[in-house]
Amino acid sequence: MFHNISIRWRLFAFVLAAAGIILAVVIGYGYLEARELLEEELEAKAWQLSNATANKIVTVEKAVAKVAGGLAATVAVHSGPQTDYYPLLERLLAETEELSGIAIAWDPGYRQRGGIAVSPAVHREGNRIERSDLSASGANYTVTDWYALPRNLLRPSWSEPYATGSGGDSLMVTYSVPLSAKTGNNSFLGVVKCDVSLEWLRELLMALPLEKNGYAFLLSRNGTYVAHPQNNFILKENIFSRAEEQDNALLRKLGREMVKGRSGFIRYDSIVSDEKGWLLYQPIPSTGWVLGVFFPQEAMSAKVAELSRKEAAIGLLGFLLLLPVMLLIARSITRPLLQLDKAARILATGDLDAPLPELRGKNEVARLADSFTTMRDELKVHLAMLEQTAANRERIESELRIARDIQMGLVPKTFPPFPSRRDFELFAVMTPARQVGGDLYDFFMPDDDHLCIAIGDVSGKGVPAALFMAVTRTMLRAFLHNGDSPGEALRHLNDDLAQNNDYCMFVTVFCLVVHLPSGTCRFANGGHNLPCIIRAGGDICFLPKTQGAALGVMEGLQVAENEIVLAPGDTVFLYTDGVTEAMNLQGELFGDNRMTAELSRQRALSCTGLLGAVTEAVAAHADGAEQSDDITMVAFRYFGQR
Amino acid sequence: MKIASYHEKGFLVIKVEGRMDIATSPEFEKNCAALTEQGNQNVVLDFSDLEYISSAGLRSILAIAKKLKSTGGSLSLCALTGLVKEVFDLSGFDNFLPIYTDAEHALAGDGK
Repeated sequence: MFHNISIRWRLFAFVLAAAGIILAVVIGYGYLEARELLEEELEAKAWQLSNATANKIVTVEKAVAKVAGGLAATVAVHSGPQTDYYPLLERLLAETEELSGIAIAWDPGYRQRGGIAVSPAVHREGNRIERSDLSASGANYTVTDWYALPRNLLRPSWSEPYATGSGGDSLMVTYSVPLSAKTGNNSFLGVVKCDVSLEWLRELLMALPLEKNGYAFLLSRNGTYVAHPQNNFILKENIFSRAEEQDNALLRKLGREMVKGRSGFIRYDSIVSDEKGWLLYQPIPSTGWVLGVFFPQEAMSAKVAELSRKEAAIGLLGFLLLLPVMLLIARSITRPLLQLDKAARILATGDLDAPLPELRGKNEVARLADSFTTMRDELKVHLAMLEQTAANRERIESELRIARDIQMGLVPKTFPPFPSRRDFELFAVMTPARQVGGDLYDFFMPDDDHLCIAIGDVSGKGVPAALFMAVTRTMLRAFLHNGDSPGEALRHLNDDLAQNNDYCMFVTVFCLVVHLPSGTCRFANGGHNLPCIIRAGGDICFLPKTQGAALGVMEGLQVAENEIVLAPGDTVFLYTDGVTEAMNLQGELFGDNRMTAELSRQRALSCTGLLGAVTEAVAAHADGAEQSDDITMVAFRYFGQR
Repeated sequence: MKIASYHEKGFLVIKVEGRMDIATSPEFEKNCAALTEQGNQNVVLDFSDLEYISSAGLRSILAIAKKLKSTGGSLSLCALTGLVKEVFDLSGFDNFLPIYTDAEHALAGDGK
């Protein structure tokens, strides 16, 4: 289907298609790779962020613990019923901005024994620091978390977060350190407590540099939400209650992991917005809280998509730049081809001098153009040679034609040859083969009473045969005119031809001299086919064999003579082997039998008619096969004196 | 036309098969010339499988005979059959070349 599209567009389409596929693969691969990289980066960043946040929280906790620990130590050393702790507390509170309140809560028993008037407490009220007395409020603080835990465990502890303030909207957590006497069995004196507002924690989490819809939350050590963007969760919900409500087994499992103090980075669907993303969770060591940060996938996907879009845009730009470049390249390749094509068409019309496109460089098309030019030049030379050859052949053929015309001119062709003679009839035909052959016949009357008839066949064909034939005919006529008998004439002819016959040519000749008044025929044979005699009564036979051989081969050849007597009505038929050896397409020869049969059948015809009949019979036998040899026949009919 | 040759009793016997006419005789002449130029001076042509010979073929044989004679060699023919025998009879070529009935006689040089 591509074969009908021009090379230019094929090149164009294929290269662009390939470029497009490569582009798509690169972008696809880039997308996957970028996503993976961004995921890794996200995880690393998440850990960094989470660790930093946890560290900040730990730092605050440590600062709080330090203050509380220091205060507890001071109180233990200076503990005395009358000591006024307010100034110290106020100073500490002022110095420690993370704290919202500090107090010393005496054990009620100890207070009564020691006669201690107040359990001093200070807290911030706007920018001011207010004093109060825990004992005075009437509330029984010994049942609170912050008191009971260190009292019973006898070690510092963090309370669970709790709501405080008038509307219960202020969240607080308290770190309390037990106070112990140096001596005595009943050594527990009370508790030093530091209140920390969780407002700063909320602010810290809110201020985290998170993507849109990303959020951080904090769980207490039993899974209660301490900080969460959903304010209504805080202290009211815990992760397990959420899991129950949503029947979310994954969340339940996650909650257990978190409470156990594990950390991790997992794929997670936000329980707030159902968004997909990742959740990082890690414990904060001292308080046993759990920090969780949710990273929405969309933000990252958006980043990846943005990256891919940029890549695609760059790719498309490259693609668009490639278009004209490809068009130019394709055109630069096909333009010379089109030029060559045009030139070839002009060349095909025979205009070899039409200008060919000149192409610079050594590339394939230029080489093709070179070959083309070379071909054109060769063609020119070849054509010139062909013209020369044709002219030469024309000349040779015309010379051969002339040779044949001369050859044909050497044999008598006027019939009847002796119109005044009533005592005999004579006819001869010579049908030359395509090439110049070497057949000959001749007849003449050296005097009124004698008729000489000769037929011959020179070996081979062409100009040598024609020349040899001409020489033979001329010499033979000369010898017979000189009064030689047929045998003598052939002997002389042989000797003359045999001299200097380097080409080994030879001629077979049958020579017959008729004494017309008597009908006596003297004849001699130089290796030729024996003529037939058709008697007036219908008998047909070959003339008897006489000694002799082809002429021109060997000097001193003996040629014998013989004679027969013709009765009125007898016919002598002389022929060359072109008759008997005429072949059909199957390679069958015409042969003696067909020839004598035809002669016998047509013997009533005149000499002219007889030869015509034999010619037709030979042609019918050949049945379209090419005539390979000259066909020559002479018919002589003797009538006697009339 | 097919040409095969072998040596026997100091003779080179060339067996010719097929037709020897104006078309094939130049090839025959060339092949014989090549064979005789290797120093084979006494040659016997075995015509037992030759179907036809024209005057051009006779001329070739004459040319070879003449060449061999000029260098002191000889050429004889043997085993002529049918048409070929007729042609030789008619043309009187038996006057010019020794013709034997078969290769055995040709090699022995008798029994013409």
